[in-house]
Amino acid sequence: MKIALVTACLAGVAHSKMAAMALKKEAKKRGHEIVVEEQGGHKIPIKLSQDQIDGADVVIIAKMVKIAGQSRFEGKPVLDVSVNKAVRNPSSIMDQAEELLN
Amino acid sequence: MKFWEETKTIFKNTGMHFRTGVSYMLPVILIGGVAGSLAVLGGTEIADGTIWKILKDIGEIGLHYFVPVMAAYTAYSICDNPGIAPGFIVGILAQQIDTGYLGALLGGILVGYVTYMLLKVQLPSMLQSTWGFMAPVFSTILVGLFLFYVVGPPIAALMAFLTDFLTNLGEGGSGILGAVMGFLGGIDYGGPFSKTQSTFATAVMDIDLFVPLGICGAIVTVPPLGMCLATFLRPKLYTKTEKEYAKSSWLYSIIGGFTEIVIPLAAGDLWRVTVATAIGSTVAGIIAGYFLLELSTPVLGVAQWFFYDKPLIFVLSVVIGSITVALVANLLKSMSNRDIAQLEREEEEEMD
Repeated sequence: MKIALVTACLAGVAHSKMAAMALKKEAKKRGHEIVVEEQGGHKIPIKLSQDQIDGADVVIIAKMVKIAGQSRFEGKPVLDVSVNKAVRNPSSIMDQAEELLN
Repeated sequence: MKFWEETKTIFKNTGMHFRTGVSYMLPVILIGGVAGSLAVLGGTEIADGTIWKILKDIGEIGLHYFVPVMAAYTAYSICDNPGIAPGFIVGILAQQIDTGYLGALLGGILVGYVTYMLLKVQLPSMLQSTWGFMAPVFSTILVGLFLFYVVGPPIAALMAFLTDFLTNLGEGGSGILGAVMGFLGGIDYGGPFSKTQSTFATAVMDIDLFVPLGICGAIVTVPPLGMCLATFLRPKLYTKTEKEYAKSSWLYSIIGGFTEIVIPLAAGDLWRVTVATAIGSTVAGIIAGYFLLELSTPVLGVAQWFFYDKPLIFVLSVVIGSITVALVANLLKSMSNRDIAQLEREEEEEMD
């Protein structure tokens, strides 16, 4: 399946990056395609394109602060989780994402 | 009842709204802190019209107005763009009536909530677009009055008490403060507890207190540095992946300076490592607090070194804290029956 992932943390230096890495690794292991947008205080995020969002089967949002542009994902199945959980337990989040589709 | 449901959701996420405010506030403090520190180079008596005066002014603006910025973006977190303007105004009001950070936080949450609810009111379509502009006006006035007449006075009294209390802590009191902050910072590696102590440390800059930030800066690299050290001291207790990670991350912990770097070294053996980092970080906090280490700018890693008033105390607390982490971690691990060979086999399977 195709996943669009948005991660967001307080300063945009540590947790958002680690959560993205953990979930990317988990997705690769299970043979899913994944595109990532990292958000956080001190940087300009590389935004997901509209095509990437449209093409995704499921959207995962791993956050500890409000994400910018939540409305882009209206009408998509969205899984909302904490960024800490994504760092520590990526496989359970991937399970949840798979369940969301079935 | 949709009203109560939405109210519940908003207040259940208070922590997230608050963190969003903090995340927009940090750059403001950072700009103010760095500019203010540069101004110190101009000497103690700065003449008007010099570049040092301008730097000093920029610094003071940053260190003063981070409070309304936080209120504005806490409100933004609740109700998007319509919350920003009310949040700014309520935040500045909170400062003017001496309720400082606490008042601004409460005001930001309240004004965000009230604006959100007012915007949900359904009106005939002719009025609806005007209402979009008017709702923030009403919410700001409403919450402003509430803040001024109802919750303002008790919060101002509380702030005055806190300011007085924290300013007169002395060495022993600051040592205890350091212990508490160190413990919080050492248990969850950048999670909610760590963020509580670091947010507290930046918040009290509003009342010209810089020891908490000094403590915060001293403890932040203790967990990763301590665990890297532990790995070097007793390599047999660690898996291959852990050892490789330690080799690549010790320098990074010094330069980058954040606690989260320790997570890969903790994840495989969470309990024992957490006990070790909590103890080491508490020790570092006590040292920094007792010697009244002050940090005037909330930056991380190498950049910190230029802003400490007592660099030697900083080094001392980090070194002793890290050694404590390493010794405790290795002691606990050597008493456990963690099967390194088995773990390494599993690691290799995961690679494939």
